[in-house]
Amino acid sequence: MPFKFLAVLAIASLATLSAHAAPYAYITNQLDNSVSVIDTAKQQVIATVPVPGKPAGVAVNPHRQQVYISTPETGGFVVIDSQKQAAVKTVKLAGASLGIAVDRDGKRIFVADWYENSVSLFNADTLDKTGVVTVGKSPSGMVVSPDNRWLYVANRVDDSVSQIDLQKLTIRNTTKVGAHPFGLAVDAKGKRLYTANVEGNDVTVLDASRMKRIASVKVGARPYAVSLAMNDTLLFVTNQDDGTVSVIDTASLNVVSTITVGDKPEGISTHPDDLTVYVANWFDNNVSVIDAKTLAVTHTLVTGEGSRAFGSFISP
Amino acid sequence: MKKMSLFVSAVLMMLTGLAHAHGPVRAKLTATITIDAPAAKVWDVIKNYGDMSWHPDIKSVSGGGNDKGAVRTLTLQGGGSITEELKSHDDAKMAYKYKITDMSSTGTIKHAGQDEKIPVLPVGNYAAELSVADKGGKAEIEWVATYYRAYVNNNPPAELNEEAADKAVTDVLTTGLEALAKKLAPGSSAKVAIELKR
Repeated sequence: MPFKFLAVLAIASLATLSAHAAPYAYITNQLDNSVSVIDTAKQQVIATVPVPGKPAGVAVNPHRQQVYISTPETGGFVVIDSQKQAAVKTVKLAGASLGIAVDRDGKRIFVADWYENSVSLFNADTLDKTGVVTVGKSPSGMVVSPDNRWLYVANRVDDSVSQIDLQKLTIRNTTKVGAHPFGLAVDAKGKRLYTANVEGNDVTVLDASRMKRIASVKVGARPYAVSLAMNDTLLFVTNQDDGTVSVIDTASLNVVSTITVGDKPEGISTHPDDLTVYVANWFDNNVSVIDAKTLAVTHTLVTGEGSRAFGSFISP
Repeated sequence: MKKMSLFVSAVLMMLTGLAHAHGPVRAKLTATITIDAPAAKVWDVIKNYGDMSWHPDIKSVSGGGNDKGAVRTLTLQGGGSITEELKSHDDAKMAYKYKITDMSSTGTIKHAGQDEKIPVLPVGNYAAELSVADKGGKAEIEWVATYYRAYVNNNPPAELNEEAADKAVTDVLTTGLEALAKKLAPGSSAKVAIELKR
């Protein structure tokens, strides 16, 4: 056999051996006290993990093969092992834990307390609480800058975003955005920040480093969260009261499409392939899968009651 | 001594607040009744967004129309009004969806140092779907409402808490479905089933 052919065979089989499981999407079903695990290659729910405490927020930690689920009713979060697809630990925290995020190294977990107006920090290895930072009123969505230096927190009732210095654990800036910001996203270069403003029916665009407002883009009724795709050229926004997703071209800041999804669309996350966007529909108890190239819904996957998935819910 | 006890009370109040800390969570209340009547006949009675004459609690309706965006204002028997916007209307599915955009208030109360209005239906961000489906020749009427309690902060007053919201919505939906049963299947012993999830 020609050497080249053998070499190609060898490489091909190595590739198969080292191939890991497809990315999974973790959907909190708040009314069912469970989390649906979607195999994004098969586009199927492959497990349903019981999680008491009205699970709402999600933060994936690929560095530790863990997923953190906030439980606002019981306070704190649950750790799901993404290999076993099972809950392995529960961390208790006083207050109503809703927003949850992980730093870029997977070393620190951030939990926002809706009533205490603070963000608690946890060591992801020991699950010890290592600090608390006071922010604005009703902290909700959180996102870490790509260089791991800043934590951006949406303060819903204050209509602002706090920028926390993750080395000093101090607030560097607080900037006003639209009315009641909830979910937010930062681009891959750490240049722009986008907030979904529930009461303003719009998205605020900010320069992330200087925390300066650049623009406001009108979307649908009661936007919940945002997610970037297609190399940050498109921003997808869930409009809870319209049952749609607004698609914004980030260069022109124009809404280029409004996609019909399910009823009360809320949590939204982009697949690691950057080409597919997943939307949890709270009322319809399912997930809409959007092809970011064609801007069409390709799949609707049945999950559980009150599918919310607030945060970053797809692990590579 | 006074300072100490004030401090202790403050701490106790704070702890109580923490212990009962519970964010306003959206509720989903489903009211269902199955009656001995053709689904199409039921739809005929309920299909017009501007006609709520089948509901005993509603005195009159102004506005309406079955196009998306249509607005109706309900005047209630006990006084007060509710304005609602039509989100979708589907004759084939025999269903329509709407949301409350405005309400009159029955008064104000003082709570946590603020004046709080009591809306005529003590809920926030209320949306609902009314539908009927054929179930083996019978009509299964379903009225699903999603809403928050009227008070958005922690420690709500009794008038604006979750129990008040749940009770009020249960009453509206139950009264409506029971009236439909009485009208379309007189003598029916069908009962309204309520499922509440929050």
